[in-house]
Amino acid sequence: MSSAGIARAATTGWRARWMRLTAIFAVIGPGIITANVDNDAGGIATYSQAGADFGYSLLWTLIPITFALILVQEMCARMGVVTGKGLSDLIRERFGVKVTFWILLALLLANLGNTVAEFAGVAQSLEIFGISRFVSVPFAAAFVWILVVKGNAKIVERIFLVACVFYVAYLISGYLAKPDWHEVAIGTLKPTLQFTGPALTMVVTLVGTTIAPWMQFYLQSAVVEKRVSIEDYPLSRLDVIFGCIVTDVVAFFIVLACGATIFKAGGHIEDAKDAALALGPLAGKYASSLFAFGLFNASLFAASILPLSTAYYVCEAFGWESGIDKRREEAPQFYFLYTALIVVGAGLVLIPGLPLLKLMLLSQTANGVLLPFILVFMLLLAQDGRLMGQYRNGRVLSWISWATAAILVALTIAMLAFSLRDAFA
Amino acid sequence: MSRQMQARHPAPPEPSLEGTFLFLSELLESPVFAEGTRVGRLADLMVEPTNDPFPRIRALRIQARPRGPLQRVEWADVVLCSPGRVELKSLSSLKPLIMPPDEIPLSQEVLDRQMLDTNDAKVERVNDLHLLRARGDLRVAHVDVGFRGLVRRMGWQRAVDAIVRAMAPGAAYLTREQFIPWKYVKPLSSGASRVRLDVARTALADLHPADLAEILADLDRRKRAVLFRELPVEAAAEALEESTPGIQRELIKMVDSAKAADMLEAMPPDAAADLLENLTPSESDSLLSQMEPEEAREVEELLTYDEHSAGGMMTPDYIRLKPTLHAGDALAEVRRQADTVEHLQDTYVLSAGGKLVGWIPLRMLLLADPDESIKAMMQEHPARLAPDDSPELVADLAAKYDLYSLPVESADGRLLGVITVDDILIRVLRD
Repeated sequence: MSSAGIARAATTGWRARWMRLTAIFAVIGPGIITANVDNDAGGIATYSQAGADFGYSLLWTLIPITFALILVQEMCARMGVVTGKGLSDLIRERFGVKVTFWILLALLLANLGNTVAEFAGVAQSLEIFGISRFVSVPFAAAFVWILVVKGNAKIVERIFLVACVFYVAYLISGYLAKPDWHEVAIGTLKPTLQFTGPALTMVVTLVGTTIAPWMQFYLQSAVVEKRVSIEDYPLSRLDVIFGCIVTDVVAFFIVLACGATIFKAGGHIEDAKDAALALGPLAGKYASSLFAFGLFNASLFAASILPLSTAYYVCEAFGWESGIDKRREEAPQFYFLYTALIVVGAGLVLIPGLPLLKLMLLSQTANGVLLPFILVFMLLLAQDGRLMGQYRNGRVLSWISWATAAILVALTIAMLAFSLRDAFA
Repeated sequence: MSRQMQARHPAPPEPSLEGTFLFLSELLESPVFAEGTRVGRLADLMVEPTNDPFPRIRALRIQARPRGPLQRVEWADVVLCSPGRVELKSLSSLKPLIMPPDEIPLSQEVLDRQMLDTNDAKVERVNDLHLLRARGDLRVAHVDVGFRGLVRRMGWQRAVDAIVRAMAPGAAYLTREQFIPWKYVKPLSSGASRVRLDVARTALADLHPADLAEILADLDRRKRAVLFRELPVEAAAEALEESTPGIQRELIKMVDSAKAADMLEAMPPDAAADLLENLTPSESDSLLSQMEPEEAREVEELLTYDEHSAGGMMTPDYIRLKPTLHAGDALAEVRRQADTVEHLQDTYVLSAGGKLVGWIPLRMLLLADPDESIKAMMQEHPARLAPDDSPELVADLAAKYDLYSLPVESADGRLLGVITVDDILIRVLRD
């Protein structure tokens, strides 16, 4: 062995360890980030309401929801790794222009609605700290735009991963609310369901906010962007599963915080801001502030990702240049869509007297209409042997997936019916 | 031409159709007739990939009933092929499906897919195909990647055209079609056996390596693999050198290790070392073991240095001169060594023991009297480095003394390698 060889062997142990670490960081991220963006302003509002109105009695639903989430997300990640293509790309190639156009139009509208909800979340959370929405929303919009357009992708991803850590705020806030852990355990492990309209609506809404159509597009694109290879897929799958569990643990603690306080005191809330305010006198100033901070973090985080990913997969499907590494002249459609989503999304929040609640309801409806189609397309793609080869859904997984999809679709249709009834009641 | 006339003279070539263009999207799904009865709908057109700039449609694929099997009709058996109506010679024209490996099914493998525009070095998505009728044949002329193609596929062309014409008659939308001539198009199918890259291969090899690297980055994984495997070793090595670390890692794993080793040999040793740094130790060891021992040793030596130090940035390839030469012989020596050395701006004068004794910029050699001695011309290099100097120091010194390259010496004064300004630039831009 040459002297160089000896020197090299001496560094191999250190290098091997370092390589393993960088290999992990080269793969993880998409799953965790997707899962956390899922707990956005709308999600937090739903979980708060579930806790405030039903106490701990719906906690158990989070367990089957987690399984369904893992099932769906794993499929997306796998398709991304095996085909190296985004979901909108695959739908375009397999189902043609027309289907793609309508799907993406619905997605665009739904995501615009979701973006409005995120900026509304920013406005509400900072109003608790006494900052006017006419300051916070324009500032947040500018921050989001500059972060993504001017920052480099690596730094942006790191900021996103740090944002994930701040979800701990909800865990602490749930702990500060001093729940009765015995009752919590019963609510988590013993499935009970009141067959009343409000309870059923709540369950359906919980499912609907947790498994959203845009997530599937985002996750798959993020996995493709990361260039995860087949050999590294097991790590990527862990990332996805871990992310799904984290999502629902956070959701669990939000339900817990509101169940231990607002439900016990017999209060009622309409949105996440009400929840944060109601926590103040019941669980202390810190719990309330942490809850509001969590809402701000989640809203800003989702507002950074939603417009970007929407612009990204629309351009991908229609073959327009996309990506933040392209200059504005190179990718005009991409930058137009991205900017328009932020400007319109933030702008709508600032128009006085606009029925924001109705708008968000509408976006949730668009989400609901879209989900069945997306799920069916995903399942058809994931079991296609020509596309997925040996990594396609096997017989058992196919059965479970179709059954889960059928339940999700049924629940979604029920949710639509409920929300339409509420809208016209 | 009237309908009646068509009915009386159904035989091709239809004179009035000669030289007209039509779109694939208009043809697909058209009902197909034979002997007066409807036999199915048009599912696909099969094109023969030749060097012909306008390749001929060789056969049709017909779908007899929904979800039923596809059938094949040779072009010679097609009487009429127009939007809304396809006529065959007879019912026996319908043959069972065969799949000659060299044919491209346009709808299945080109429409809606990504393809490579070798003229502009861009990856585009195909919205439609522009076909030309010529002397009884149907030929592929262009690929439509424009917005209008999308509108046509949606079935809205008439409505959208009318609206645009009414609102802005001079709009570029109406006149500027984004067509790419077929000869510049490189369809990238995913099936391994059906790869037809030879057609545009020469066009690809002429691309700048940086463009090629960008194209590779734009493609999805399968197409990247297809394209990369087909590249000649030299071109592949150059594209690899220009790619980002993540893609390098992916690409090098896509080819068999013997070819990968060949590519590493074709790369400058410092670039090869940088690439190997990104692999696991076992992967990089197995590649090194398959390289020529001489080249492998150079790369291995570079690998012993920390990536973030002068040692990790240097290349062992530089112009070496002996102090006993004269300027004229030295220039001949530069030409001789230029095969393996990329950087020619500076020459380094070494003693018999490999110690650095002086430095002469090429400019000086060129302008000098051929009889002038190297010993008299050479200067002391103003910025001599040790292997563990930091990249910041390297960049500072290069900027301070306006240098194209800087020597790295061992503790006992042997010249280990040279850091060139392009590697300094990349490091500065990245950090």
